[in-house]
Amino acid sequence: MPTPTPNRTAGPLGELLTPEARDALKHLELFARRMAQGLLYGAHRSRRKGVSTEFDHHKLYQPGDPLKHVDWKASARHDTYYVKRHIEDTALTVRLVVDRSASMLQDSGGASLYLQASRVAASLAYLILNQRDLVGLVLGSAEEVFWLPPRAVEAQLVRILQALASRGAAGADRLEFCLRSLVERGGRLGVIAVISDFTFEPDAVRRQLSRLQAQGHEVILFQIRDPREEEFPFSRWVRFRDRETPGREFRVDTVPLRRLYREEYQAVMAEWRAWARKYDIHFVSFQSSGSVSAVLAEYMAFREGLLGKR
Amino acid sequence: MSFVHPMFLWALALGVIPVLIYYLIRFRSLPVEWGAVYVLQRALNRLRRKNLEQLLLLVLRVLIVLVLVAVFARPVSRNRAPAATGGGTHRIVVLDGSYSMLAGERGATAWDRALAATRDLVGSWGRGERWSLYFIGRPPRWILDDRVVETPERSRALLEGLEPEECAASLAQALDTVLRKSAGRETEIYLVADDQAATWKDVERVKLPAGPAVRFFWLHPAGAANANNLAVTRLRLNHERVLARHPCRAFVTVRNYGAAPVENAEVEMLVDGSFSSREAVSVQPGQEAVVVVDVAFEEPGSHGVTARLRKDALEFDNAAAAGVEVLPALDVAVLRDPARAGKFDSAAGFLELAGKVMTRKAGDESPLFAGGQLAVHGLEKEPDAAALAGADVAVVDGGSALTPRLAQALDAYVRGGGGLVLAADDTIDPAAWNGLLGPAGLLPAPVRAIGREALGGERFRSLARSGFGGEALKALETAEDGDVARSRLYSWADLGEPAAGAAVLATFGDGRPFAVSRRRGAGTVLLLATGLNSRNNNLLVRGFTYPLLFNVLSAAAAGGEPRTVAPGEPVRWLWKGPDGPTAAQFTLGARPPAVLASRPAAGGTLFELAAGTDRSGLGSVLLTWKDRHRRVWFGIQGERSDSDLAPLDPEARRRAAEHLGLTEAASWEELKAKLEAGYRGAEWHHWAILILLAVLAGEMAMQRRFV
Repeated sequence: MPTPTPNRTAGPLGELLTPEARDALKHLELFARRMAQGLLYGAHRSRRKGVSTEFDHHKLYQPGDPLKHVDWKASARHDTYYVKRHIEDTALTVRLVVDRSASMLQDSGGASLYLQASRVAASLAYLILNQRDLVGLVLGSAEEVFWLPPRAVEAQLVRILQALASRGAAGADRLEFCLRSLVERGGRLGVIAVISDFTFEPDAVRRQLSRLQAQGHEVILFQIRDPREEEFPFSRWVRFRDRETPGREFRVDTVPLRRLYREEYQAVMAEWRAWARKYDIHFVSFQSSGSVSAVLAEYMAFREGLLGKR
Repeated sequence: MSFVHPMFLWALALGVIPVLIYYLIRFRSLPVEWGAVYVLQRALNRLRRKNLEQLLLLVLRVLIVLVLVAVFARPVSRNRAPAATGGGTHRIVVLDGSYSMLAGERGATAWDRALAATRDLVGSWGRGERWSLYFIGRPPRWILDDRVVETPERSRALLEGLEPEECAASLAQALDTVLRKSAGRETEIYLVADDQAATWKDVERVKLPAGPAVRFFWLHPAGAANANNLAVTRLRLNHERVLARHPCRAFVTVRNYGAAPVENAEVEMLVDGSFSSREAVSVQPGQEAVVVVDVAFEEPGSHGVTARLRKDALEFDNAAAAGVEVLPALDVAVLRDPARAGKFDSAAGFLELAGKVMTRKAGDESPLFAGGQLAVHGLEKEPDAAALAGADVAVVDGGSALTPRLAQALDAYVRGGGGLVLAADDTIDPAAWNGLLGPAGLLPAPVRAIGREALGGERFRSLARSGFGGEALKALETAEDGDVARSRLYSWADLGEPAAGAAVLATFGDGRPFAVSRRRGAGTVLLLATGLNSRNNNLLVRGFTYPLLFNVLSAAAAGGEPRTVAPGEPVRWLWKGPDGPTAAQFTLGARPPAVLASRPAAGGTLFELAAGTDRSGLGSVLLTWKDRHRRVWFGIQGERSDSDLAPLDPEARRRAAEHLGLTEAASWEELKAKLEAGYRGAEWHHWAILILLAVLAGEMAMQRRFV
């Protein structure tokens, strides 16, 4: 199967997935840490028992079982009919959930959080489609929630890139709604990659994430941090305008606030990390000034190491 | 608590600056689009708990400003006792500038000490404090009115130009003025004055204002004891125009202002600054004595005469000066009626004879007078003003033909500075005199009637040897030249009440006026109650005849502008004729010369220093022509109003001190010690600095806590 390639490499689409990024991602693979569930045969272990070369266990023959699955050698040894069960390899379904709320417009790192989130999503989509797995996209904000069902076709990358490029960040945060929708829709188990700044009230989102995790999905959280939001480099009175809520302002003397803010920022990040660790969720956090491909490469290597230990 | 520099307290308003800065910076806040509002809110929730600390920080910053201002204002804790002061209020220095402050040794007078103490006093006041200086001079005046101290050196420099003036001081009047100025304000009044009783008179009656406290301090530098204090209160010459080498009599009045009698005090006479003669006088305390000294002038022209006493407690009043014009000759014009050709029909014959007698030169067998020129000439025709212009004295008697035209000419002559002698002999027509000369203002007293007595009769009249008015004829009272009381006049004029401004110079023995003088314009009219002849009298055989004649003619010739004036009176000099001086300037002692203004006057040019001068002494006017110059001496004689150095008696002093709540000191050091002793609390300056440092440390700690 040829490598999926977006039609254009220049312009908004090209900005999301540059040739250099593709080259960096070419040799990376995303394997499911948990059981995958899919219709297509693929490289990922499935909960479904079926056609595969990897033996799993024997079960007593029951009328109706296909005779071709009877392990005649084992049945002769034990004088009882056994049927061979194999672990079915299936294609991985990855759903990319990108936060496109207005808070993702922070851009002090050279690129806006949303652009970096889009790059992460594009890179993951490229990576996943490159290994013939299914990838879908959910773009959520109060303004609009865009759904792109998982597909493993070559055009899916283009659709994803177009969706990311044509929709900017705007409106209030709807991540909780998106995740709840995923929970309620069900669908094949797979990987849910949530890409956001995670600087919002976390309880509702965490509730949905834990439900997804409980359903059997593997959840990966990609947090993109804005350097300015992290450093809080102010030493005067500042009128903070809430990007997500027009008209909402905070007039603050940042001198006494600076230390408190930094502490709170680190606390929020620490809470996310602790929560993710508790639910065995990977929490990948990086500054928007960093290279997306490098971050993904590092994460994939880390993940490969984890899988190798198993 | 009060402050050394309370004017700095206005700066407390600067305490709002931190608050203003707070709101200004808040108003000018930087707009920032922010995404991590959740985190921001969590931080803000914690910050709100720190709002109290923020408020505390703001309060600390305000406190820094307030305490800093307090540091500059120098807080002191002290009560409001009269002796407790040193600053923080409006200060008024009342400086006694009367001439009694010059008492004491030269270089160490009360004024020198007072000025030094005042310099130290005002030099102790810091920048920004307000003070005023009221100088009791001539006239009392504000030298500085509510001035801010720029530097202590500048404050001291403001005192440099001051010196005592010729006047008396009244602290009561000065305090009335000063207290009106200080009404409604907390004031410290520093009285720098001697302890002269006259200065402190009625001080206990000064009404003190209600309201803010007024504190009085008295800096009284030691002057001199009052034991020996004579003063020359007056110097008068019998005439201001005298003949050269002719006796001129000076009357020097000496008063003893001291507490002890003075025996044989020497009075020195100086002519043009050179010693002339010396007389001794003894005066009892509070009494006056008149020393009569004859002064002769060798050279014609202007001369200055000074009477001087030896040094005593107050040297300022030990001298007096007078100016005199010495004439080479006295030109006497006698108006004659051509119709009356008799030898004794007028004074002309008698005066011509007298002139001849008196002008006998040395070498003649029996000169009657050593010198002096009396040029007598008769004017036969009815003269006009031009014909009279050259005469020093014009004589009108019964032998003169009086017409309205002549009266007008005489009036113009007198107004222009001429001297007119009206000799009312027995041949005059009183009605004609009163009718013609009276309305013209030329008659010092009306002539009521002519009295006669047969020669040798008993009802003659004689001159009195006392009761002379003024100095003009006073020389006759000593009888050195003959006893005028032995004169016998068998005809006389009964003179009526003298006109306004007229003075009786001599009287008959019965008290009736004999000689009445009156100034008119720049000239003088002298009315005699007898004729200047030898008819009906025994004058010709009496020794006093010629002295009497000279004095009468000199008194009449004393016209023109006076050569002895009081301070403040105009100094005038009249130039008769054309080609007057191109410039005239007046000098007195070391004072800068003052230029006299000139204006046309009757028959010439009048040079005038209208404001006069403010000090006694021998002054002079230097007249300058293109090719020459001439000096004219003027005596400036002020009133001895401040010569009495008698100190306040203890009871009056106690009353004054009690009334004003005085803190007394004889020197700046003593005053300073009393001021410092008056502090009952301590200065809080160092505490204010400590508080400032503490607040600063607190602010920095708070700031650090936030950052």
